[in-house]
Amino acid sequence: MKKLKGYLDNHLAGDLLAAFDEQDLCVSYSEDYRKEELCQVHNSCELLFVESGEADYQINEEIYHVSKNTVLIIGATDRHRFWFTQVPYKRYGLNVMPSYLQTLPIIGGYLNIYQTQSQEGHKNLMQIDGPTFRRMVGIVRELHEEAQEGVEGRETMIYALLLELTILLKRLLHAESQEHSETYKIMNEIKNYIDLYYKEDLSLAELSRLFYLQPNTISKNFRKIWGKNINQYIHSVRITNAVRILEAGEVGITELAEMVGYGNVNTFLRQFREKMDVSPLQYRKRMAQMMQEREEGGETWEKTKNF
Amino acid sequence: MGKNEKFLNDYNEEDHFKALNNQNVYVSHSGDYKDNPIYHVHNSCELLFIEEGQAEYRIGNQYYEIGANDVLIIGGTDPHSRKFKKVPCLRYGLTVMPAYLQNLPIINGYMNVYRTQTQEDAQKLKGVDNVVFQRMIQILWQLREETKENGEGRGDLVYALILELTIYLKRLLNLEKQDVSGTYKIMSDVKSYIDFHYMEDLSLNELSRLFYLQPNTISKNFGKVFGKNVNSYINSVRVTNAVRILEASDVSITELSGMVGYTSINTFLRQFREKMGVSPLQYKKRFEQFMAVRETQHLF
Repeated sequence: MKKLKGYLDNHLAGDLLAAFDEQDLCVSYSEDYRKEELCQVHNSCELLFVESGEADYQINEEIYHVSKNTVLIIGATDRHRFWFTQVPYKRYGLNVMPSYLQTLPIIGGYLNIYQTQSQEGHKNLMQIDGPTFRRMVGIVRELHEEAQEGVEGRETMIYALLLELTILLKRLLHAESQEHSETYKIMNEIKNYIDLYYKEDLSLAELSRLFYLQPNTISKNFRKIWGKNINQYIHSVRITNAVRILEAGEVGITELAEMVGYGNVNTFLRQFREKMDVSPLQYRKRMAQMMQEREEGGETWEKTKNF
Repeated sequence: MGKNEKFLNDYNEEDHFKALNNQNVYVSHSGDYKDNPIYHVHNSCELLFIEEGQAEYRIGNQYYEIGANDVLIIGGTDPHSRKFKKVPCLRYGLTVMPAYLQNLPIINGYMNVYRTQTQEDAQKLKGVDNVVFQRMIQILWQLREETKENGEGRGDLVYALILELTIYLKRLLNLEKQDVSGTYKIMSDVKSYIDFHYMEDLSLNELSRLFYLQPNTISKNFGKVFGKNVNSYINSVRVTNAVRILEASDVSITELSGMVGYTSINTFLRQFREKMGVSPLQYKKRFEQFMAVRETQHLF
């Protein structure tokens, strides 16, 4: 089990967004009263526990509906946009880094829970029975309590709570542990490698050389374990990191393309637009606008509330 | 046993008694409406969470007063008796086998939670903050759901719940995680060996031969790690198992003595009486009478 890196519980929306990309664990509780459309992508896996209201989420190409007593799981680096269809829309949010989860005993075998589910899988997370849903919200609230620095045994308690949550989700999803599957272990290593070395050469030929596997074994098994095409995953990771860098500061587009592993600026721009619908510069402009609105503190699109 | 020497009674179901010695994890919710004393010993460590009422527990030679929102921890193989001072006395009980906890990662570094606490430490478990106390009760309900089919305590959710409970208790008691390597590890192995091989020769010479340690190293370090003399621990385990067998079956004293590792019947009888205050036959008789009375209500 590695040492927990950072732990931010809600507060300033700006901090919250940064947390989605940098903290191992982040808890929030949000209420929205205005129906608006938003688009996000981040390195962490996001779990939403909906208390009231309704919303539609588009994750990659699929639409997921959420209402009271629903849990929605959005895999890391999956682009998602959402519309609130019934307000007030209140939900608890839990963002966790897959790189943190996989260091945790037992939980590391259930990373298939912490990714965007199929529509069938999602159905199992709708209209969850009252006691189970309340306990999951209880876990999120307790995770929030544990956020206070200096509590004895904090990391162990966080681990125990995440384990409890994982098993409750596993039961709802009928998921199996993949802890002992060799293919899983290797594909997990490859995924880690991509997550960490997105700025380097990640061609199948190079991955093949590094992991002593045939290129088509890699692409076949990657899809089997993670449910997505490996090249698309590499683009997702690169664009997610480009978004993160864009949100954090000024940087030239050529430089940015290189920072996230694209030798060719045009490929970068095409991939960025495909995923985010807008160009990097447009994205930055929008982002700045949104942050300003929030700082002015008036009617903002998201109110993050203390527990 | 003096004034407590009324009768052993306890719970409605024979199952409850068996569980205290055979199940890794067992949760009960009991209510007593009149004073209903008991003198008892079992292999599992018992944790009591008092909802209402007041009681006085004697563990070994120490007396512990407990009331609402208090937790009391009774170490495995520690004989204990109780008196209710204020009824109804409603409480949740959790019994867990130390040998089972010993095998759980992280929890095995907090075995100092799961033993009879000193008077001073027991104070820290009194008047527990209500939010924490209610969460502990909720953990017991969840554990009950997870273990009512069987008390093996398998499953990752059971582990997560016991881990949460352990951290709450460790915080209340201000305990540090123990290093589970080195001396601690070896002494735990010795303790586990005693727990499982109580019917065999457990002389210091034999343990010395098995663990490649000097006899006095064993007795010195065992005392240091577990706060008990190794020989008195061996006698505790043997007498506890004798009680378990007595409660479950009809055996002769000679047979019983051999079954729990005594070569001399007189030693067995002396140790039994020292620990339980009565002879094995008297114990058996009382136990049967108590089972017939059945005053405790099971609330689950």
